Amino acid sequence: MKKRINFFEVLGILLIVCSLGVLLFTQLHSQYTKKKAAEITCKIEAALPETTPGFPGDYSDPVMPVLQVEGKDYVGLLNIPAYGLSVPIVNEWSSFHVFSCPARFYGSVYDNTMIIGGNDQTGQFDFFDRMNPGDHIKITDMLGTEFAYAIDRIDRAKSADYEHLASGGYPLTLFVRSAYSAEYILVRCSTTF
Amino acid sequence: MRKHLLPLIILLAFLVAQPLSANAITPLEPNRKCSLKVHFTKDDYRFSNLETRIYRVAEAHSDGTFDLIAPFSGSSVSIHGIKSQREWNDAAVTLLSYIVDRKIQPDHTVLSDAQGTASFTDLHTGLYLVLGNTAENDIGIYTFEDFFVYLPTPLESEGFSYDMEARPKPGEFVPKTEYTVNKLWKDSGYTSKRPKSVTVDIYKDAVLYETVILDSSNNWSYSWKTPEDSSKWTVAEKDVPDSYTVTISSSGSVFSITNSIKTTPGSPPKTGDTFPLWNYVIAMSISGFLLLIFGIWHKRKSQ
Repeated sequence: MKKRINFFEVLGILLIVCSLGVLLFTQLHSQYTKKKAAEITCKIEAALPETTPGFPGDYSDPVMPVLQVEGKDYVGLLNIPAYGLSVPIVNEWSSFHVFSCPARFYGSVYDNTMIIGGNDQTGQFDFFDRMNPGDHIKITDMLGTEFAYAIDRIDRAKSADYEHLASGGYPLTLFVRSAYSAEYILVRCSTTF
Repeated sequence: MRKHLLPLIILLAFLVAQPLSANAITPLEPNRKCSLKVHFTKDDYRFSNLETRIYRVAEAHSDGTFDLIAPFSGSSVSIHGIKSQREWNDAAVTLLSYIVDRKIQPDHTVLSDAQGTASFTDLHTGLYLVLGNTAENDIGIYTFEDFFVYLPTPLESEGFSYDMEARPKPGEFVPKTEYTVNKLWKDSGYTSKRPKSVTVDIYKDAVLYETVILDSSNNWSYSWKTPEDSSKWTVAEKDVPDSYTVTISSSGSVFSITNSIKTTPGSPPKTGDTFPLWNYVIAMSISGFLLLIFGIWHKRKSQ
């Protein structure tokens, strides 16, 4: 007797294939963006002068300059040595950009108001749930000035609007939406000089 | 870094920022003549015959403030609101670029004497840019950086000193084999005004060496090789767009030309990442499995 695949089986297989396709795509995409971010970082590092320590009080203008690399504006480099992370920071925020690199959400390192958003995919902030208070973070601007921070506290929140992100007046806040728990991880940092 | 000039620079920032008349009992005399002595020494060694050029870039007012004067008032440099040595350094580099690009002659040029002292007399009050020098003795080669001097200089007690002495600290000359110029922007929200390319003149010892175009094809950056000599390199952007002001900074062997548009901070964006992809993937997978099981069950039942 001939066995025919019915509508429900077709739809079920289709949904499973789509799910696997999305999984495969995100894995390939994160590998690609990781490689791309490393290339951009190398290009930026090659263009920058030797780093010098920066002090937020030194600036009469809080606006950070950007360097355009491969058609996209970057405002600096984000370095977290304990986790081997060194990635460029896109200047203009968009939820699309954070799939490639962390992006400046608001503010500036020059006046201690910097907020950076990111993604927890491989090659970016995939270690966020392992970060600890005291971990060091460095941001280098496009003039080669390096600003040093240490993690003060790590919060979890259901929403991440500007008021929530800027609350507490921390010089640097990193945030990332956890893919699995659907909550935001907010990393609050203080300057270390 | 010109750490030796830090106190002076802090003082300069204070002077530009606010009038002195409220604090100083003796008012500034803008028409009184001043003098300046610059001592070029390294330990006990005195560098003679160093050509020293100074430019009067701003005039002093009786209330202690000062403003850029022609031809420097045509530059985009702002000396008001400067908060740090870093910003004074940038102002000096930008003004030097303006001087080289427009071939502006110094107000005064003298040679240092046998004591290594360059003496300037009969100077008007104001802010002066003193161009540094590269000097050599039997031990090594040294560089004296450019710096600003304010004449007259407020005294700690009260009043002003109209006769100033400066002792720039020599730095070890570090030969460089490659220089880079980067084009930076401060025009967030106004990137549509940004030109497709900019033209940059590169000068070696104030003589045009090369003209380059920076654009997206070279990632707005250009590097060039140089011999290991003590040549002084400067860069200048040609035809700066009207809506932008330019600031040039120099660190090591990298020049950064920043074009700025005066912007006001916009309202904060929304995070926007409200699309929980993984939730949909999980829901899709579970639905798929359930449909598949249902389909198999339905087929067996109908058989």
